[in-house]
Amino acid sequence: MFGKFPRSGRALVPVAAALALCGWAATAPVATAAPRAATQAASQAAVVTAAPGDPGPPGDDFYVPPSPLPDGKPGDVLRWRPAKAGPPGARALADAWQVMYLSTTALGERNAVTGTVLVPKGADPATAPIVGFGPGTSGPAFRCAPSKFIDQGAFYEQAALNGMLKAGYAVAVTDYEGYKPTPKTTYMSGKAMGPALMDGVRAAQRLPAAKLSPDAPVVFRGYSQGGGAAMWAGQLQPEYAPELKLTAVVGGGVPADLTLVSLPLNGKLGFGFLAYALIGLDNAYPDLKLDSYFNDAGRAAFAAMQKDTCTLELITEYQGKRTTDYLTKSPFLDKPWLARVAENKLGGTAIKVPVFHYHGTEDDIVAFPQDKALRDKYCALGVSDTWKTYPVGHITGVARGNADALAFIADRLAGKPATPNCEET
Amino acid sequence: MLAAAGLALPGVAVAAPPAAASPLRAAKPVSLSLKYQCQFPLLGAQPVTVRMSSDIPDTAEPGKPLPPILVDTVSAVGAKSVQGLNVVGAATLEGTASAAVTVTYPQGELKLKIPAVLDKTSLPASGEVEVKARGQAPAIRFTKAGKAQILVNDLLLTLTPRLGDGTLTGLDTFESECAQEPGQDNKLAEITIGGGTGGGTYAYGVTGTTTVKAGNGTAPLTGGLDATTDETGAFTGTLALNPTKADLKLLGFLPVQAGIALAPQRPLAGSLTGGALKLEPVPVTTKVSSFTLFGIPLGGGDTCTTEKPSEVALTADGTFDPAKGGTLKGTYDLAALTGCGVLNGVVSSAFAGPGNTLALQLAPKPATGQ
Repeated sequence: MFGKFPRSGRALVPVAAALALCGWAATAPVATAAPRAATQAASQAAVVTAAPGDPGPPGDDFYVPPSPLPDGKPGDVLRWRPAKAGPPGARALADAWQVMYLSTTALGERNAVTGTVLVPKGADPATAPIVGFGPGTSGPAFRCAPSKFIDQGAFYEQAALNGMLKAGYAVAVTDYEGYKPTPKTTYMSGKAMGPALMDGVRAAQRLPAAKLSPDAPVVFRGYSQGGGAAMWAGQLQPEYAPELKLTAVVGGGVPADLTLVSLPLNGKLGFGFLAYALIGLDNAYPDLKLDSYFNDAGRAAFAAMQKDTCTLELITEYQGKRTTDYLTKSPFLDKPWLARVAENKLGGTAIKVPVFHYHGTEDDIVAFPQDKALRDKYCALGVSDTWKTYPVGHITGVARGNADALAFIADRLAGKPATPNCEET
Repeated sequence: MLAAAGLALPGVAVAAPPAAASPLRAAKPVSLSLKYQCQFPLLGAQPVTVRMSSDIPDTAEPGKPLPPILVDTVSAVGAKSVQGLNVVGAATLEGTASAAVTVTYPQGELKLKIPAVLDKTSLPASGEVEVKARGQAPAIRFTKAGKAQILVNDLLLTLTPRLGDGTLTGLDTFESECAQEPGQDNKLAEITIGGGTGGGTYAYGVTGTTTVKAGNGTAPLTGGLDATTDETGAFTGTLALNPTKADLKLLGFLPVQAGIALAPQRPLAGSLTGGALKLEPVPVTTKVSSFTLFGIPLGGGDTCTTEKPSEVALTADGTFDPAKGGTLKGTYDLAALTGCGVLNGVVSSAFAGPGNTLALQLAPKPATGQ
């Protein structure tokens, strides 16, 4: 069905969008986040604040942020409660807690983010390295929160977690912003994902029950959305969380350029991810007004998505759909969208620690060329980027890089110099 | 031998490997279908129905292991789970399962994990898929009579989907916890230990002694006891003692030899629970077939017997394991004898009175024909 020539009426808008977008993306001034950065720097005293001693509210109330937010610094733990580290094998490996911690939105405002802190049972928490882990796409509905999937034993990246726990690393898995009973996830907004991931590590360090060290070596890691989050955290860390002893960054299947990721998804397997990215950006940036673009089907479908749709349903229920099925015009034609997309494009700043960077050459969801371009950009910026490709599609790539990622992390923690391969084409 | 290999628990033991296991009677087909909610990555809880079948004997002999129990399962994995596996590109599914099983028996319960290997299964493009597996329980040996049940509880699956080229999918190998939906009968099998139709019968050789206080003497005893236990813990037994000779003292010093026979008037009856054997008193008649002083017959004969039977209360010496036998003891009164001839009074004086004892050692007879 993808091979069919599209009917003219349906083809026009996406084609126009693609043209407009590419043109815009190439020339749009890169919006800066200077005001937010200044705010962060001012609050960078990094005083460790004790987590409250009582476990958080029971059930789903845990996810409802207190209003107003209490005083505190990014990474301060607002609440916590014991959780399961996953299925029995994971529970044998690690203790786990769900946490809610302070972080920062894409617009530089204070928010509360949830996540999971896992501490390996065999390791000395005082010396355990901490991996800030950004999960891959989990979905727009509240039930998709990674911390919920982990607790119920249905997290699709559990193998990656188990590998790190077996290696003796503590792991701070951010849910990212917005998982609450009335969800407002800011999917694919790198400017929100990066802080959420970094503050997840801080929260792990400040959660008394975890007994982790503020001086622990830190790694950022993730695949797909999580690869984006890890790279964003890597780019923002020197400014946002300079106290973290960042040692390495691992990013796989990275959506570096949302324009180039989104356009090939229209009418394809991954359309649901495109739709979710629209939702995520709209939640991050109220000026985008996605609601004004909907047709009736779009209004219903996008509302339904946020009620009960997680990753699998994004694929199974929306594959082959097109923006024209849901939107009266493409938001990508409009300046505010183009500006926000540009703001959330990776590669503007170097990552100062060694990066393991990988992508499946057959990737059918997060386009390969745009991540290869990020790698080239990083290389040009002087990043120590070790690039590896696997002959697999996006979903198979979720686990395919796990062994290499673990080896890369172990070598960096052991102090071995990285062997970047920027000279390769 | 089995006890050494087995896990020592009161009332039940697990012997592995079950070298000497032998089915004592035909295994009986049992089956059970249970609904589960299994946690799958990307999906959360999904329905899986597991149909189990096995051949498990409905009776077992105490002390003898059941043959190892093979459980065949067919798990119906729901369409949405299949869809999820298709989305990650999986062509096949393989792995292992571990079923949490509780064996209840009269003295308690034993929790076991029964492992199973899933047949590598090709996944359809849509709809449900059935995954077959065969699991083997360790050989179970019950040591006490009563009723046992095998209850199947939650499952843990360890699953590896593979792409068509045999490599791992994005899900790698994952664990899936399956919680049994509530309100289901989870009894796979019920086993009667001992009793039943011929099961739980024991044949003992009996040796022992009885003392006769009035005659200040003893007599060796031999005989047999055929006992039966049932699932309710009821114990019955037929005790037969061979005629014997007692060396007694008449009037405290005259050496007398008496031919005697102790004859229980009805089967032993009582209960055996938790190793405690309790028997109702049994009436025992004592017959004196001969009574000689220095070899000279003074009395006795076919009609020489106690006026009324003695009520003999036998108790086991400590815990009684019907598989191993044990010692039964009791004291009894002997009534006056009658029908012993002209010297009936003399003969009777060597027997009649309280404080007589009986001690019987029960040793299992070698099994024959089993």
